[in-house]
Amino acid sequence: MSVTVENLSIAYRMRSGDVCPVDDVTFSVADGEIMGLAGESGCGKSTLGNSLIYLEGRMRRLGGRVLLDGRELPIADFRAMRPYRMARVSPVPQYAMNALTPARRIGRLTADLLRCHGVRGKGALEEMRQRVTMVGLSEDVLDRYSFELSGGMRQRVTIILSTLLNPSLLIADEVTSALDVSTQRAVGEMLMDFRDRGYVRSVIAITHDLSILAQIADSILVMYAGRLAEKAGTATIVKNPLHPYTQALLASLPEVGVRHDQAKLVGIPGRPPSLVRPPAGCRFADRCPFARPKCAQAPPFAEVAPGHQVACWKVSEGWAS
Amino acid sequence: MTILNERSSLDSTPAARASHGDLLYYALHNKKLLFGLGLELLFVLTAILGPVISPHNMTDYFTSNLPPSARHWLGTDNLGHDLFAEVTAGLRVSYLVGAIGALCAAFIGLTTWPWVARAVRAQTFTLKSREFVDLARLSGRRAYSIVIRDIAPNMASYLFLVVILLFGSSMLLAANFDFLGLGPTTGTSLGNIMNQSTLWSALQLHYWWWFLPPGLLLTGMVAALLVANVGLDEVFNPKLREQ
Amino acid sequence: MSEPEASRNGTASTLRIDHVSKVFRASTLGGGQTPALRQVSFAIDRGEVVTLIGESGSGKTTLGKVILRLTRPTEGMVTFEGQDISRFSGTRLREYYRYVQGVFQDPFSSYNPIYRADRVFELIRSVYFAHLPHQAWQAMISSALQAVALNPDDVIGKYPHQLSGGQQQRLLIARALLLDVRLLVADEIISMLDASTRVDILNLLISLKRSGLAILFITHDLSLGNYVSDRTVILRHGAIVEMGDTVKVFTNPRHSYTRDLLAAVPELHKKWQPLGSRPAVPSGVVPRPVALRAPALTECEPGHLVADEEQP
Repeated sequence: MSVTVENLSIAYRMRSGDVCPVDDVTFSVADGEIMGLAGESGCGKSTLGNSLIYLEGRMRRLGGRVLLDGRELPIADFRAMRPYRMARVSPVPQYAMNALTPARRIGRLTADLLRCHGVRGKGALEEMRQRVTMVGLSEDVLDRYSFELSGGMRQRVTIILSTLLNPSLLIADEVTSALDVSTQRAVGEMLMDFRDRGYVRSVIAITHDLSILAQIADSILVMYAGRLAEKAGTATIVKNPLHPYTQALLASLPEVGVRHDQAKLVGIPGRPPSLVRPPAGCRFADRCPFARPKCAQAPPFAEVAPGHQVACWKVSEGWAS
Repeated sequence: MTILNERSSLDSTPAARASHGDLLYYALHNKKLLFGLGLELLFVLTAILGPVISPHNMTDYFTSNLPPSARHWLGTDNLGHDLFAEVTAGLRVSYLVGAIGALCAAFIGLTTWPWVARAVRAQTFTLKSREFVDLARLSGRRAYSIVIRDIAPNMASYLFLVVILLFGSSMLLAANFDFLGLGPTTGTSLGNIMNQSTLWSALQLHYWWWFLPPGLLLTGMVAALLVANVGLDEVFNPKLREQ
Repeated sequence: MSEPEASRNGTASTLRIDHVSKVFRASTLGGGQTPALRQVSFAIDRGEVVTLIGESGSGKTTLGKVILRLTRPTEGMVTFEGQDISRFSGTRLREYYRYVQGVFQDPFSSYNPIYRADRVFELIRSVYFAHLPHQAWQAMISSALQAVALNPDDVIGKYPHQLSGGQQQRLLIARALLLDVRLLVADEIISMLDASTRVDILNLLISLKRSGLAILFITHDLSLGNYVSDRTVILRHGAIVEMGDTVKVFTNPRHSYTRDLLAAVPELHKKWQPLGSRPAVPSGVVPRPVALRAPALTECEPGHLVADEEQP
């Protein structure tokens, strides 16, 4: 199984004009890989992830394509995508745990969902029951309404639902964000476990939380203002980040054991550029401590070491820090 | 989607500093609100001043079934009554019925009738749990001030809509009864006029001036309020204004 | 039952919470009483940041509301500079709010969307600075905005939805600074902000602490708690399980719950360690019945208290 995204650009129609939260993006996810898609709010990571499932009304594809196992995924065609959704590519949308309808018990909800995707018979429901108990939840969850479950439990139920048909690709959008730390760990370990068991082949985990990605992801792709900034294996990103934005982001994360009087954290001054009229060159230039005149040209997202891609002139041209 | 937090054109308007001055400014500049309320005001004025400006009385007899002319602005009905006089009188009655009906229903509704009371209560609770109410408390505001300044405006367009629905439905209900001939036979109302026009085959005889004005007025009265309500929504919800 | 911690410098603590309990009446589901807080006791002094760490359902937000007089405790007492806050009403309560303020998790929710954002300043003015001349008021706003590193042109005259989360949050802190605030209750004020903005707000809190402000920093994020606070209180199901000097609690956690929490924190440079036999994750259905009495606290080392283990 493999997913390749080639030069994908998605436009979003707004009152003030079109914005391009996904601008000429190219990357691939290998079989069995959990790739973290990291970035701050407004960078386009959610749009990128969601475009692989469903292009909602105001979104449209400007260019590029997505290949699933070598065949093009018809992301721009709502109806043509139907057989793929849930069965081949499955989402866990942001706030999914609040999206479970309170009017139906979980078991009924599951049966309804399966029927919508053309799956009949008791087999899948049994599988649901098994997986629920496997992750440590009580079996009677299926007889409960969603409001009777805690946030963490709802989140886990949603992930089980999304992976029930063993999709090739799971797109998990901020699945650990609203959770307590212990539940975050349970959900993170659940994603890894499901990948290990083959319930899902690959995962794109979208989040702003680099520390969670450091735990569960095999590789991390950092996005900034609609463009890709850096991609590498998790260990490389965490220990040896090359893009100034990645470096600044890591420097702003508090670590347990580090206090303010020992090492002061530093934020990134300024704000991301407006996507309505993005700057022509490197989009991070106005906040970058290393910016030079060349940065008025957009740097290519190029490989600077095996498996390590960066879009930065400082890196590709070897400027001194 | 946080990319939607872009700067708006409101940055450039020289609006007043005080917040209630703000609301007034937007209210006075909102086309839908002005149009809706303006039209409604027109109807109300016609109802009030109709008998004064009308050259004829409702009970005077003239030649039957005359089309609109300079002498009879809406023509005459089968009995020779001046339709303009009739319609304005009917307008009065319809407004009275609507207003009294709405007041009674609102009173009954807010005190005993489930849907209205529950809906308003639900809205209040949702607003109460918004943190700006806590913040007002933390600013030393008294309860009544919080209700008037913070909670009520957020519910204003909702409450107004409830009143419109009650007003409109009681008017239409009365008109329906009158139209079916089940209303009081003394006096007249818009529905009554339409009833008479049907009984006397105005449609078949092409006496459009008999049934069209009352019907249009009834529609207009309710529609104008609905348009005004959409405008009111925009006044109270800054995000909607940026269209 | 242990005593609440004595204040450090011998004078009355700025804020003292004494055996505070809060029980909510039976809800529509489940029936029975849910104790949101159980005999919580601790104190906060000037210039001190106390972090209240708890997961959802721990009662941390309820405690914040009790301190802010937004809800009343069922039991126990809260004293501010030696005075019982439950007796305050009218003018005295407004006085209290001059010294004690709160900032909440969702910055947008703290603004009434139909008014401009700086109305939050106006709310204060009419109650506390009604007789202040316009110039003086403008000067106050200017300096408050400067203290939170906000450019007046960026925020004055704007509606809440036109400001970023970070700007909204800073404006709310500036509002608190306009008053003579001595204690700030900061309830999850960072969680809805971006990583790059969070740090600025944290550093702002630290500089305010250095100028004497007492801060109750409520969070579920242990790394944040560790970064900013002098003392830490860990809350579970409404009761304190461990509390004391932050360094001591984090380097030498004694309670199994604290250890489980620390083990679950995702770190950049260290993978999750295998858990002990009993995971901290609830797998039953809410609400879970809890005893009405909190477990007793004992001092395991100076400045470090631990509760007895409680059976779930």
